[in-house]
Amino acid sequence: MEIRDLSSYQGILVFGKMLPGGPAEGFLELLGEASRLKAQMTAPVRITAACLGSSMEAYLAPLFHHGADHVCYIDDSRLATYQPHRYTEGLFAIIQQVKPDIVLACASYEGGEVASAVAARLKTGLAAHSVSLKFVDGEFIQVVPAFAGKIYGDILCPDTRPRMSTIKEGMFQKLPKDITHTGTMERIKLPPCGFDERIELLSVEDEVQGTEKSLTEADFVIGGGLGIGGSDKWRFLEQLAEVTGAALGCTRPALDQHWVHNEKSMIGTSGVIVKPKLYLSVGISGAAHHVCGVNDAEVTIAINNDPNATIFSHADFGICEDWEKIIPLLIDKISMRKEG
Amino acid sequence: MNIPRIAVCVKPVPDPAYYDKITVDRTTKRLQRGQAPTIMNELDRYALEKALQLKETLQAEITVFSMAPSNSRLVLLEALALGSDKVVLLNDIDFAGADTLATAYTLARGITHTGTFDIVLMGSESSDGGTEQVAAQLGEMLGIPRFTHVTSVSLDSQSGRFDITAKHDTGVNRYRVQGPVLCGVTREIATPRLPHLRNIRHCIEKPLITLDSKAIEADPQRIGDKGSPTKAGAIYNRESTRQGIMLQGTPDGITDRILTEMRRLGVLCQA
Ligand SMILES: Cc1cc2nc3c(=O)[nH]c(=O)nc-3n(C[C@H](O)[C@H](O)[C@H](O)COP(=O)(O)OP(=O)(O)OC[C@H]3O[C@@H](n4cnc5c(N)ncnc54)[C@H](O)[C@@H]3O)c2cc1C
Repeated sequence: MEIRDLSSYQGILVFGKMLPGGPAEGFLELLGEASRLKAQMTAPVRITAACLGSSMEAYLAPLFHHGADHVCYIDDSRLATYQPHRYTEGLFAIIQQVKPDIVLACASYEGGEVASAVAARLKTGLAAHSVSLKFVDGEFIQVVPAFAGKIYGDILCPDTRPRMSTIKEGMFQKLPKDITHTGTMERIKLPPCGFDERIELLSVEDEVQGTEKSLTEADFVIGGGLGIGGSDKWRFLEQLAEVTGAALGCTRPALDQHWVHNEKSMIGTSGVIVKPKLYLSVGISGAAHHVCGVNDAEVTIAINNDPNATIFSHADFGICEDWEKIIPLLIDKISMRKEG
Repeated sequence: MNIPRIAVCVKPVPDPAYYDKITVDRTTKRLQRGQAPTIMNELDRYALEKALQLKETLQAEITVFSMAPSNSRLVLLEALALGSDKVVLLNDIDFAGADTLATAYTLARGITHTGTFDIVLMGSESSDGGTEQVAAQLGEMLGIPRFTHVTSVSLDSQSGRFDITAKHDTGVNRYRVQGPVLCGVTREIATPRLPHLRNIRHCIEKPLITLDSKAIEADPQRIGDKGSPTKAGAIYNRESTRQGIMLQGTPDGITDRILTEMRRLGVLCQA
């Protein structure tokens, strides 16, 4: 491995997604985590927010209000839509400019892809889907899941900089908005993008944002699995979500059955991480890939008619029963209370 | 264009059905795999299926690459039985302990050493590590355009251009790309087939080549543990902190109990 002057890399850089009206939630969450890390570091540390996009200058202020001391950005019409090769050039250029010690990137399709490519180019380490970041005796430790979160491991990056991590949305908390917190802006240019002659963007389809209650923000989440047994029966879960104001999520098989259409409703390693006060799982076996998405729920209740289902060891309250005996009755009781 | 040449990267992984049984031994601090058999990484199987479909329509030639211990030969034989033409196993004691960067480097060396390819296909993520990093990193090291979370690929054999659909954070993009190109695929790409009896018989006659670090002229500083900027520290089990209380009784009693819990947590909206 090449020897590098590690001390010339300073500060924390956060890379997140700029949506049309401002930074994505996940971006602000990472700034929150960067601020907590900054508080643990002895030397003065600057937090840089790295932004790529087009015509976004007017929307950068929230980054300062949520912890950024510095925004380094590239505003270029070629970045109007995400294209992996261009965004890789963009983030690479910003990192070369800022030379951060630590880089936190959103573990979204885009963030993960770009961070991976940039780490390869920098020949540095990238910890995937970190769930905790900390300093122990001066060492920076990134805790990551393996085997779908059944096992956790500490990742260190002793010899190269920057030390990079991707983090799923919903993992960390943003700071309360502080409009007095400001910082500096730095705009740099997009370097030439090598593959532009070989790649033609034919079309861009943006999904219509669903009106469903957001899973990551809900206090009460219901998760439905293959045990529900049919799209007609799935309606019961929708109804329960409606009368309780819960957000409804699902497992991968339920998505595969098309009982649920929005891919972003899937909970687990390949889906979203939820942290509600209450998680009620219905007809879910409790595979590691799913359970790792609900580990941080305050209380979990599981309904499954198999007494040996793994989900019961991940539940505060287990109900070994056919869900059809429980859920419709629960809906009735809640609806009656409301009418009465 | 000549016969398209396809590379498929395949990772043998412990069967995900056993992940609930995988633990860290409390005294030795070592991983206990809980008897999990080694199988082909799920998404790589989807990538291979896509390659097989391209082969059926375009007479393409498929070479499978795998950096793996030699005890994963069964997975590689399966790749041949499914219809691949050749398997290159990258196997060397010095490859051990590779993180994603060293893995991508080793695969890149193996591929470059073996020949030129029009397209490299692989899963966007593995079931065990699940980092979703290797595809983008391999593309970067091969110096070719790369896309991950690819849901469809087709090749226009006249122009040699690929039409690729890939997910991004708010939807999907469609691209037309002049090869060579790398695609990390998702499950939407194709539906995997089962091995055909005839192919199972033929698979032992097909080449399964093993290459070590010397053969692929790998830089010793960039492979295995030595070539990995990330170092693994302690590993531990995620301890369940759940109470595990089974609620007994009639549906009436159980639903009342659920309602009590909902009220206690304040999650029952009072609309
Ligand atoms: C790489 C990879 C990534 C993955 N990512 C995810 C992910 O992000 N999220 C995810 O969810 N999965 C994911 N999976 C899949 C995961 O491993 C499991 O297959 C999945 O979570 C199982 O879903 P399930 O519990 O709905 O179905 P099953 O495992 O089939 O369980 C159905 C359950 O319903 C119960 N049941 C049946 N009928 C009734 C009834 N009438 N009343 C009550 N209970 C009943 C059964 O006892 C059973 O336990 C992933 C897999 C891989 C390999």
